[in-house]
Amino acid sequence: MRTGYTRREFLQQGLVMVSAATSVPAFLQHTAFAAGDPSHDVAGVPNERILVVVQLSGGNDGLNTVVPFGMDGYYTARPKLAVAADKTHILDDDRGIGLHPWMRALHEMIGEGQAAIVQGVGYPNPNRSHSVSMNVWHRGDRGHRMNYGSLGRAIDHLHAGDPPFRGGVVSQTMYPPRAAIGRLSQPMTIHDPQRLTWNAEHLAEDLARHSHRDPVENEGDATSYVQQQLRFIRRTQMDARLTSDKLVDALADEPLVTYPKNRLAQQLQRVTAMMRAGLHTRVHYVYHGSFDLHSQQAHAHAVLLNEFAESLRAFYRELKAMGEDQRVVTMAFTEFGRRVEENASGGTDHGTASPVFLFGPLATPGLYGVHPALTDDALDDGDLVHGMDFRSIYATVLDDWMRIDSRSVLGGDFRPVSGIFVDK
Amino acid sequence: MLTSKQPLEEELALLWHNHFATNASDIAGDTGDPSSMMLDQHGLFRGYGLADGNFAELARGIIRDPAMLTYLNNDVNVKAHPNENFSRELMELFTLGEGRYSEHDVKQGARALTGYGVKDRAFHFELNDHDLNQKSILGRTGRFNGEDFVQILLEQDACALFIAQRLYRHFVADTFEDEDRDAAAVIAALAQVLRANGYQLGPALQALFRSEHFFAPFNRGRKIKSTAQLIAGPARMLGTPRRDLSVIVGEMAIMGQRLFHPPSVAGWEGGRSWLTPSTLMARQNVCIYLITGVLPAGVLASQHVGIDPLTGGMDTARAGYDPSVLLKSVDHVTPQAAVDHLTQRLLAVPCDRRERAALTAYLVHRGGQVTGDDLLGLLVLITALPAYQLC
Repeated sequence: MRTGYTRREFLQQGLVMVSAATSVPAFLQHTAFAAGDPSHDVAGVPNERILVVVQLSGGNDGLNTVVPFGMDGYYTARPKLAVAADKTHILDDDRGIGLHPWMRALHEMIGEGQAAIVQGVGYPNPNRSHSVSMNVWHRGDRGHRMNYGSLGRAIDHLHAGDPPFRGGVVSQTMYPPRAAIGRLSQPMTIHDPQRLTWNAEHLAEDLARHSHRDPVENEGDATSYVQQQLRFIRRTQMDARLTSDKLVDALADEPLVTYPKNRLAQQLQRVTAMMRAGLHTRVHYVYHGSFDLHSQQAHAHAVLLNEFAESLRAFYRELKAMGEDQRVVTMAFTEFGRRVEENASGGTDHGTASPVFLFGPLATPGLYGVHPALTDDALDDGDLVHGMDFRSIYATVLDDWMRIDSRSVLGGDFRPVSGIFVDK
Repeated sequence: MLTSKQPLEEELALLWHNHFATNASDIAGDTGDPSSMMLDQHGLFRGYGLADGNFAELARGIIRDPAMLTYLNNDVNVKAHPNENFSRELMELFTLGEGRYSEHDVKQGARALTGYGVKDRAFHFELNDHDLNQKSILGRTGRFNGEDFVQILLEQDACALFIAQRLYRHFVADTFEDEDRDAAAVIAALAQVLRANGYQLGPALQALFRSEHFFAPFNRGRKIKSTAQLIAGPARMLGTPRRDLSVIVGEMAIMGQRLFHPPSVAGWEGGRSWLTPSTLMARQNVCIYLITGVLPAGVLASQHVGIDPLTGGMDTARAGYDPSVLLKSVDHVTPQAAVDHLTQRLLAVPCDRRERAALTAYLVHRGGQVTGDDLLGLLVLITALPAYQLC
């Protein structure tokens, strides 16, 4: 019989005896999600659908990603940076659209039915400030009509009436992404699993050696407001420990496929590790970049695109090996594209519309939307004019994938991009 | 906030920043660097929102505040194309509360606010854009301008009640049930004091802070500390030394409270929304930093003032802080006395018996001498107790 507490029993669990090995963090329990999962029990479709959001930070140069080699104006606007037509991976031979040469993996995924690209995505009256434009995308709102972030509102909507709901979004960014902050739901950030542990563990070890186990007792009125608050805090504390333990354990296992070595791949590996560890979360938020390449962009941009495509391919290969690929859709966005004309430093400056990428075997592969025209008369002061509002992509993902009514989340009727998730 | 001799003033400035919430990065795009406008707004809160201030002046000031006018699109609210955003939030979030006005009032109020805009980052009233015609707001009719609109709002019973509720939630309890008669009575009384004194804040705050209700044991620990309160705690309650501000600001963002960047016009939700597994661990680790100088994981000592976690220990010399002074008033310092004294000082609610026993055992088994190093460890343990999150 043990006489002392183990260190984790004292601080991490607030003296409440729970076996960490068999317990799942409350905020990620299956039941917490089943209740709010409208995709449950839809015949022929996977339950507990997951959305992975990839933020391509800094403004990705869409024109050198999805290359309009057959369109007038591309080569004149980019004498140094233009990608040669015969180097691209052809997506649309008639219009002359191809993928950047270093994105073979993405091209193959489209061929295998695992990726779709929506062209020319943006919003009215575009803003070229990183923070402002990123906030527009995060809030899912062009004016200031909607409060909080788009994903936060979506999770709020799923769990309407429940107490504050945490972990509906798990983000691997350092700071909680604004998109994920709702009125009630709060994201969980796991930038560094170390940060889910307490920095004074050695004190708890001292304590564990010397304290003695007492029967659990309640002081005062267990139903009082303060006691309820304390229970909530203890549970949150334990959740941190459980998440950290499970994540560390899951990450100790080799991934089922080989991933490339980069920051995005590392984050995506953590997503599959969390799934394997049995953490039920609906939305994972990861990031890649910076794409803010104002000078000498050619090589740096090619590397970023290659990392992006290769990491996503490895991610879906592992998901497939786990038998989970059908549950997961990934959406990659950037706050804006770049100007059509390259600058004098071999780079590009802040622009407007850019493509959005969707991954997953349940997305109908191919190229959606129309590539914005590049001729002078079609441009707005040298910038692309968007043909697709970004909220239509959100509506596609919310209505057709997550099965969450997009009108209540977006505060308006944005028509989903038709054909991407057909009867899924 | 960390060093102020007037913590109430800091609390109030933060209260109004949360009440009239404006996000700096959302106004940046329209105006370039938003800092001068945010600073002006902060000046408004310090000018009229402190204990000698007046809510009516704050409300009058906010309709001429460049940051707010930009944030809520009133800079494009013109006679030809009224924009209702500011009018709605002025009633819903700033003065009356939801459901205390009609959609008709929103539209008419927006007309009263036409032409209240911004030029060169300063308030600018454009007469040509202002609607001079008759409006009807909340049952009153006239050729109202923005100041008239605010006056009508201030004269509503709902306004004093709404502000009283705001003060109560900030200073007493995060939440209270509608059927909580004690709370309802205190709030009604506060509203009465506000009305009777033309919305002066001093008399209302005095009434609150002198009330039995405020000090009742039942009303202790009914709030979860905001990130700002958590950060300010060790310096205020323990006299810990200054630490690296850049670390603290970064940790605050991780904990979900980036000052001048509230998540919405409704401000920070507060209460339990402060606490997620990640923010709670960040809270406990930032307390370790404030007390011992040991930096949170992932923050490098080479870039900031602090001690790396790997090499860090409980050491008063390295911490630059000796908590022994906290026990000066204790005649005979024993482990039990130290634990009792410090838990009472740091926790808003009585310390659980088992927790107290474990803390005492910690000191006993360190030798029972209760050295400064031992006390550093004790303080770190106390700030990791669930009760430390309450205030």
